[in-house]
Amino acid sequence: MNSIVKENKMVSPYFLFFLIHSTQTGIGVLKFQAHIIKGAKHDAWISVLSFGLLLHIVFFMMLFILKQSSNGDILSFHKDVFGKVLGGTLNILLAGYFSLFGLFALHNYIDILPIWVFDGIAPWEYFLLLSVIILYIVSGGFRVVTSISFWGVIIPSFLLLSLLYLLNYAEVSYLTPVLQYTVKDYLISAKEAAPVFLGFETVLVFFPFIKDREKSGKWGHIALLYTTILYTTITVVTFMFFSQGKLEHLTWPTLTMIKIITFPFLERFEFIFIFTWLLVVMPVICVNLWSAIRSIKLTIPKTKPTYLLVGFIIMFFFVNLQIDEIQYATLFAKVVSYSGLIFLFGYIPFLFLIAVVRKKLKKVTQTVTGTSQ
Amino acid sequence: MKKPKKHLVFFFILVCIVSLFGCNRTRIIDKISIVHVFGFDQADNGELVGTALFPQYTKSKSSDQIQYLEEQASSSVLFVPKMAAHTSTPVELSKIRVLLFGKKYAEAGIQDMVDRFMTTPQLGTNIHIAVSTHSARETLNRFKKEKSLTLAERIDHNMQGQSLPTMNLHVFLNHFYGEGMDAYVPMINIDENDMVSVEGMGVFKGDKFKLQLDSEQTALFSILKDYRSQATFKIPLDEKDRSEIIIIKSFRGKSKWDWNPKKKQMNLRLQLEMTMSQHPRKYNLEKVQEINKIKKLIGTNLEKGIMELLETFKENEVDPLGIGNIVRSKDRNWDEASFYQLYPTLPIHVDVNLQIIHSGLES
Repeated sequence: MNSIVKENKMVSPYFLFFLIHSTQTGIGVLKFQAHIIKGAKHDAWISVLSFGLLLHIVFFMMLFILKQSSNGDILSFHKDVFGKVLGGTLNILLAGYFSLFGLFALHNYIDILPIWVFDGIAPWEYFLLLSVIILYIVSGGFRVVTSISFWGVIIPSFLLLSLLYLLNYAEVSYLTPVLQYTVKDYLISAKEAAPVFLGFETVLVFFPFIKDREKSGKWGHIALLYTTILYTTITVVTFMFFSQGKLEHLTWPTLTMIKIITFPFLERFEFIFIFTWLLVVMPVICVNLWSAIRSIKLTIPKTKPTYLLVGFIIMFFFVNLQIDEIQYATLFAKVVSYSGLIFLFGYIPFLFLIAVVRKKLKKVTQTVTGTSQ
Repeated sequence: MKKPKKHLVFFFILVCIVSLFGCNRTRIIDKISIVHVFGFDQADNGELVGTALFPQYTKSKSSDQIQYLEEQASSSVLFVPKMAAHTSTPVELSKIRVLLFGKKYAEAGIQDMVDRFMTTPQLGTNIHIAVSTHSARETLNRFKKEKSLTLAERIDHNMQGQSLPTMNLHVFLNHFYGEGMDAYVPMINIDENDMVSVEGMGVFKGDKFKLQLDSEQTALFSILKDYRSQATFKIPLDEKDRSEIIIIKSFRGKSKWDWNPKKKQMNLRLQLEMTMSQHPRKYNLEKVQEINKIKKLIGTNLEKGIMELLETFKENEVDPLGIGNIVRSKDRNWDEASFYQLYPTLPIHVDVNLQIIHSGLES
């Protein structure tokens, strides 16, 4: 079991920024505003901001856990703590969790295409197209996955300029009065905002691939901060752009917002948005799939990653066909969001506690052996 | 050498599959029927009547280039399939420029139709929504006779350079669904010369058309609502003498609303920049006193007009200016129902601050 990563497969620390940020952004960005207004209405941006800041604590815990593991990832930590069988089972579960996330991103993207752009094209056709790209990227290894997440952040960034155009129609009075609601409302909004922030848990698996690990943690924090600021900005712009009553009726606020932009040569600017979003979605799918495959590969020796990849894609294909019906979409979203919340705020703190205790024990044993010498 | 070839074949097949998907479905501009204007009316039996105008690119210039279709259906979603039965090419809604409601239908309530606008992703939001004084059917028929598809442009330039306040479907929907405000639309009229004209605006209360404003009221409304409104006002000083008149054109305007929660009173401070197009000879604009005199004259006249406009809104219990929203944003205890009970008697104090920036070539 060769889990120590070679130097030539590693990436520079600042890529951690792109990896983390790109795994967080996904289809959710196009519609999360419609959900977060359920609790605190026009104040929901506060929930988004505070939830994003809360993630820094979770990330700190993750880094601490990774530091305590023997190989610098959660897979070895599982094995160190829970032993080979139980740890291995947890690793497989983790692989299932990541593949669920990858599938969710893929499914969502394939879902919006017929709604907005291509009416009447069967989902399997998109899937076949996308699977070629996914196959290419993931089989290329971690460095190719990193590069796609790099471009998946850089290229879609130009879309942010469109927010400036929207400020023409901004109505500041929609945002006031601030802090009008009770704590419970803000919590509901924060819970609804959670799914857009999820996805960066993959750092637990790919962290050994980052050079200069001790110092690279800051890039992760910068990425989380950037995501938070970005989401808060989008939320504030949306709230200034739509009256609350209208926002309640919308399902895709970001895309509806972008619709207002028209050029003489381009009637529908949101088409550009949707197609560029492939670059936003791709890293999410690829990083998650890569992490799932790595989790399995390190747990069960002698598995060929390429076969695993093809197996995953075939599995995705059939699952995607099965959950095509409208009733599964919301159920799927719920499963993903709850499992993500449990993972981040239940499982990570639990592992963190174990890591702390282990560190204390180690110190004690060290001092005991030290004095006895 | 055998192995790479296998890969190559596999790759080639994939490229074929991928590129062939792309070739399968095309929508070429002269092979689709692009709806430009869509009109809605209510039929006598309660169903909806939809009318649409399409350009026909394939026909020669001499023949009739505008196709007109009229269908009756119980839901707006059914219009497209019904219309498709009459067209030679698929009907596309993506480039609708104007949605037109007949006044009768608008008065009966358009909630279900507006809900459809929200859930039709093909529809843009930077398009116009208007109400016609005649039925939408008649208006579109009139257009067909004029052989023009320029309704959108007509509304557009009236908003940019004339007295119509800037609005589009996005603004309309914000006001339609928003708390503490009512929607407003431009009005389309067929005048006595049988020409289609853009004239004044209409105000909704809830989902029902309630109030129609004439062009003077619309001009006042636009300087209250827009920063860059170019409305023209005339202030006659003497009814009999035609030269005794002041004509001013608005250049910029900022309105600042203040809510006094104790007195339950609204204060409106209007900061206007205007240009003077015409004024009677007896005023000499080189003298400060005379300028002040003329300013005061215009100021009081505008104040009076605005007060009357606000009174009209209050009488009809409509709130297109979003006064309710302004109070909501400043008052934590705001409640829609109780505010609008108070609304008809709400005192609004108007204060116009005028600046005349130039008077053209007149001296």
